[in-house]
Amino acid sequence: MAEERRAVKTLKAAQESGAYQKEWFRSLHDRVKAGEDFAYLNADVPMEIFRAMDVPFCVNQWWAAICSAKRMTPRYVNFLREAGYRDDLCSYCSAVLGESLDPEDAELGPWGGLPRPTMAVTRLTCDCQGKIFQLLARNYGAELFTMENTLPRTVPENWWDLATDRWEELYDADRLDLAVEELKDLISWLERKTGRVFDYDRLIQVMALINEQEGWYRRTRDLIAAAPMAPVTVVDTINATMQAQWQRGTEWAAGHARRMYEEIKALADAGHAAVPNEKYRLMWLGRGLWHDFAFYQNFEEKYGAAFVWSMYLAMGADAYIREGYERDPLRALAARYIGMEDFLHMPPWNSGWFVREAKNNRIDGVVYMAPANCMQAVEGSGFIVKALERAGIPVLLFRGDPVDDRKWNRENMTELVGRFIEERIIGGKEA
Amino acid sequence: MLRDCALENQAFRELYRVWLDRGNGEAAAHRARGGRVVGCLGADVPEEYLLAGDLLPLRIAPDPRSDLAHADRYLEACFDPMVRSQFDRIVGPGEKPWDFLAVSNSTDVLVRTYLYLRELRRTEPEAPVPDTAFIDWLFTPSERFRRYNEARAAEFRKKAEEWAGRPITDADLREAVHVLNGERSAMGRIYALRQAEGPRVSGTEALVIAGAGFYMDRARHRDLVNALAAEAEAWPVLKGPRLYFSGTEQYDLTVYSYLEEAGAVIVGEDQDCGMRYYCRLTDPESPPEEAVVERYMRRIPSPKKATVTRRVEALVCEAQESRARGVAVCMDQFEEAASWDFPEEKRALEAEGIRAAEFCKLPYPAEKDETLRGRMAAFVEELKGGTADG
Ligand code: SF4
Repeated sequence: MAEERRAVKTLKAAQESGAYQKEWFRSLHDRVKAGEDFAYLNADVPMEIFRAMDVPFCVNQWWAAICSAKRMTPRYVNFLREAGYRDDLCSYCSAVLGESLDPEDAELGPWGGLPRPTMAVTRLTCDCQGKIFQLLARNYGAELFTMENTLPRTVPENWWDLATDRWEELYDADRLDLAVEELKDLISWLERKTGRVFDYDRLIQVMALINEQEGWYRRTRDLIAAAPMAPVTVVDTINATMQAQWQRGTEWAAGHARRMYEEIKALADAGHAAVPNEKYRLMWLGRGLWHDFAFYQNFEEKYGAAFVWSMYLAMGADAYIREGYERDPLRALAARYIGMEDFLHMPPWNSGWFVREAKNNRIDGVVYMAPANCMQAVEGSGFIVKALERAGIPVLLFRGDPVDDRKWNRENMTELVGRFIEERIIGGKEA
Repeated sequence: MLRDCALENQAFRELYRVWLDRGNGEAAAHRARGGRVVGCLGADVPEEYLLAGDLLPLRIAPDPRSDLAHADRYLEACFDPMVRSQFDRIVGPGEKPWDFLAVSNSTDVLVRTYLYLRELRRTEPEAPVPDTAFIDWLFTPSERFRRYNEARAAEFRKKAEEWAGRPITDADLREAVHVLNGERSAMGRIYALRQAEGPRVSGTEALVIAGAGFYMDRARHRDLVNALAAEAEAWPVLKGPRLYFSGTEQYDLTVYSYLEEAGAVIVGEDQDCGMRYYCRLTDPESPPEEAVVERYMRRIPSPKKATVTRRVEALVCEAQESRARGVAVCMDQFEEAASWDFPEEKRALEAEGIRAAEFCKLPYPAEKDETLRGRMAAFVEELKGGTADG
């Protein structure tokens, strides 16, 4: 397990989003206590519908990251084990199932624990998701709603060039049609369940705010990529982006993204370097290392190696913006959410994008944490590594767990990455 | 446990020969007659269309002797060992007995497998990956998804036509349905012999009978199974605690043998190398796409895909209908989804007086787990405790 050294964050925006998140959870507890419905969603569920209907929700992977950062995952794994479940499965998605069995959650869980959801919604993007959600829904007494997942038959080159304006061309038309129908089913279910009425105009506002927010991420990503020395590292951007990403579609989130951009721009304009001796720019591939953010900073002083890129900011930049949403907001939303699985977990969608991002960000080396126990995130790492290496960018691939710190050994990992920097990056440049 | 009565039976011997050969000879013979062969991965490839186009569906069986060196170049560690071996057979060197591939999304790992094959074809054109079709069924029962599935079925029909080099008529399709339904009914006769009060066919024998169908002409399989079913009615009754098997496909006899040599009789299963594969007929009267989709959506809910509730209901019902005293849930390493069902399944089964044991993280081949035989024998001993037939 990692020692208690904490990551040093410099951005005010990172602190702001952390504080907002905490306050938001407090208000969530109040709303649930007052009798409002509360939905627990998997990350790939189109949360925009809930936002537009003002139904409070929490995202599974977001909550799992918080639990991991609070070092609660091992406790929840214990509850799973005691209930007869295996303790080596799906750690990212099943932490809350363990938490749902914790009789002391209100006292010991992060920020008063998870309020009892009345609804649980997931997509069937992997074999386990539907099972886990059904179990947690039952434990909390929530109603379950599942959404299907379809596979792309056409594979366009350079999805990032199409995603914003030409998203109809990104997908097989019947995939989009089906997703729109499923969105309508979700809306009807929510209307029945909550008594609220869905309003298309409100969804249009939500979509507009999201475009605005993600537009700031695009500027931020491009700014960091172009800066001679990176003004910030992933330690600041991952949390600041994701905490606001889960609030997407709100005025606060759009404003926060702008404030983050302005803050980083000011730093860049002032010639600030997050790693003053920056010599090497690293890309982090894979899910965030939620239980040990300080790890990212281990290579700064010794090697001048800065982790400047993670998918979190860059996905915001390239994968979320959908123009033309006013014409058909449900279709535009469908064109956002069905693509996430394609972009992230399928070669060549992901491999081509990683190469393009690595080049744009002048990446010297890639540290790639492939999932230890998640079939969904098995994403063609061999193809990704090959594409990057072929582009002249060395890659260190290792298996790890984003939330469960039981098998994480910071010392060994530091040594592994250190060796990679010395041999492949420094050695490669000298050769 | 293959008994002498089986090994001395002519039909069984023929099925066993094909099963051992994994269809290499059958595929070569089909090709020699000018036919084409489609290597299949997954239990949900709608074979109706392949048969209708005179294409031989040939299941790509894992090879327990493979060192997996070729698969290891592409697959992450968490691909389950059996699929790893199947992938190795596809991408490794040497003559392949198939001309095309068809992969169904029966489980996540097969979805990934298809994506990797597609990417391999794109990035390494020299790799031995032929034209590959993917069948993207939606398994959640709903009218909306049924329509989506019908479009997928129609698409696969077109692909089969392309491979066959001719149109597939509705009459072709009806004939294929007739053959496959006949085969499924024949397998139903074998199942009835297993499920009977005094079972006449062991689980291990049934694995050979069912598995042979993956590798041969289906009308011939139907006929051999029918001939066998008639004769097996006179085979000696098997004694021992009745066991229902759930979980990973069994391409080899090892796991079933461990359980049956310890004294159990496997009277039913939901794994895809057994009865789940053959259950449910395709309605010959309905429009073809509708009938095909209906069949593939309506089988016993898959341990890999279905929700916990559906699985628990299905397993309890199956185990009860089989009058099983115990249920063995076996899962290969990295083939995890069904593990989420097990605690609920165990509770529900035990409430009905049926014992349940989970054997998970099994290697492939299963012999690599030196403790497995002993653990399975211990479970069977538990089942025997204090019973009339044990
Ligand atoms: S396979 Fe991956 S995405 Fe699916 S439930 Fe498990 S951890 Fe989550």
